[in-house]
Amino acid sequence: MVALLLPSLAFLLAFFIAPFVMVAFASLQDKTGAWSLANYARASSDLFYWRTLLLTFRISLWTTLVAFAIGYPLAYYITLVVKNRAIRRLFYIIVVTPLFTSSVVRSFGWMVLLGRRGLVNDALVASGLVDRPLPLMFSEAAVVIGLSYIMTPFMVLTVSSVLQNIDRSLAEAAEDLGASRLVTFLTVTFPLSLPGVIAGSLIVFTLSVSAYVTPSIMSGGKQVVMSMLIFQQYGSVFDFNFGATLAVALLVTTLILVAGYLLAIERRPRAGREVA
Amino acid sequence: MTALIQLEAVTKRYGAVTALDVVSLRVRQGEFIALLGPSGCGKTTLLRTIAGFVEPSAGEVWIDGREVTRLPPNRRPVNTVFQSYALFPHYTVRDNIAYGPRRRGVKPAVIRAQVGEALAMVGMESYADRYPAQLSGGQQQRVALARAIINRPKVLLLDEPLGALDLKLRKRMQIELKRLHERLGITFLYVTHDQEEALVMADRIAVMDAGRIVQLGTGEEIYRRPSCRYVADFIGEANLLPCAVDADGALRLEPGGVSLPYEAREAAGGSATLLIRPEDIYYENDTGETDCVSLPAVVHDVVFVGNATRIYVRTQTGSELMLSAPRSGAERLEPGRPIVARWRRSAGCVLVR
Repeated sequence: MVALLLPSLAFLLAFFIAPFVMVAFASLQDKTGAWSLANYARASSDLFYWRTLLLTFRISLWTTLVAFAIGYPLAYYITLVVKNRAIRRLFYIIVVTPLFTSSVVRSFGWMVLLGRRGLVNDALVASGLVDRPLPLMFSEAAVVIGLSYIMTPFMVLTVSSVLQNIDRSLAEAAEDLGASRLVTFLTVTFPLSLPGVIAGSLIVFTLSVSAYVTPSIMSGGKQVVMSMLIFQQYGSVFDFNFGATLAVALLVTTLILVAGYLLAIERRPRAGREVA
Repeated sequence: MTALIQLEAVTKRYGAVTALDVVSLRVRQGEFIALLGPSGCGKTTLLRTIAGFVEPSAGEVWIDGREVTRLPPNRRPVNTVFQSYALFPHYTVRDNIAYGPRRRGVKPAVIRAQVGEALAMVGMESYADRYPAQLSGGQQQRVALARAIINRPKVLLLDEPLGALDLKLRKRMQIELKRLHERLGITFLYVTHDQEEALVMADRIAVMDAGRIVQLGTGEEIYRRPSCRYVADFIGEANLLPCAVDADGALRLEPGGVSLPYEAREAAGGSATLLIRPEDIYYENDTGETDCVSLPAVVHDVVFVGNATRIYVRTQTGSELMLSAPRSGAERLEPGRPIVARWRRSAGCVLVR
């Protein structure tokens, strides 16, 4: 048994734990290699880094909400409304296909749509709704749009995998007992799909926190998120120690948020429980 | 008295498949009706049509004097006990049972009393705070029952509710269900493929085949006077003897042409089937009864089945018969022994369809 686990343990050690330990060590050293907390002092005393962290989480939160708002109805539609299996498969393919394309390409696609001379602005100006093109790109909203587009498939896939495993007779039982379609959804289908929503939102949130390409392109460098700062430290400032500090800080705060989220869900009275 | 449930020529087609083929049925208030048939005969589709999950392609469904053909399930005065129980896994037993009353806006204090009552009715008082996953199959079954009857529906629809239980528990639940039916006075419509279950519980049995009700009657009627070979074969054990019918309607056993004291004028010149139940055939040499049919035969197999012995015999003309004898006395029969199979004339039933 142990022998069978060895390869995966070795893999985990070599590619996840060892690099992380190295980064963590680097974050605790100054440029000369001496142990020091100076990097953390520098990061936490400068309001700029706190604002960047806040922006990163705000963008990720919005992205999660948008991915849920679009992804859940889509997952519901694909799994519970579409009856034809071939059409359902087609929907899955449509949802998954964008994942095969580089996010660089997909983000530049948004520039074609949202740019100053993009399709959306052209249409708005041509229809006379606005006089001048709107600054749609390079804003916080643009980053959220770009990320949501990339993250929604993850939400659709996790939610639909849970939805399609919910026993159909449960919804029938609810209707049989006098619940309308809406009440059935609110009291039975949705509470039972929460594990999918939780898994999906965790994936989307953490991927958004660490996203680099999409925020860089969509913001044009005007909205700086943590991953961009970290890349800067490693790639242009060459301060590996401070880069490591920022990376560890991002990781730890993300973990705290995720833990808090999961704890809040656990603490709540059981999902959908009614009080007699 | 008008019928509580009235199905008027209900038909349901799925593409080229006809699941219900012009089904008409009237059920009286307080009756216990079993829909009996093999899987795929349309019995569950019929139940789901009454519940409102299936919209018929043609025909009408009336419940309690109101046409409900196009009404959604939540607006029909019926409740269903599902085959899989369909208990809400995220609710406790109490919340499961309270689900119906809550949807109708019953006051919390009243709900609490009703839930207690319903739990007591199925003997599950001490399980109110458990979740369905913490209950055995039989217990889940009781909760599903309580969740349905708390609403005091006009009709309780049961879709093979005992199918997943073991034999012993099933027998006990059959009796409990029957008692519950008597106590509540609610009309029960019970889908099953188990003929014994139907015979034990139902006031009347609707035997279904290929989307049609082929016979509707009491268990006794259906057992003694089946309307056709299909019903005779489906309910209980049966000897079905193929016969030729003479021009004057008299029956002759095939093969061999032995004349039998039965007639089927409506099938004159054609063929018919004579039904004799295994337990109606005696093999003693003389029972002293008059007006008997007797056929000399030879025993070729004796099978012990617990509470009885099955004796397989072949008549001189080559017809196969099965006899069912009480355990005692049958030990003397061994293969090869000649006997005379006899039955009272009135025990036979001529089937022309």
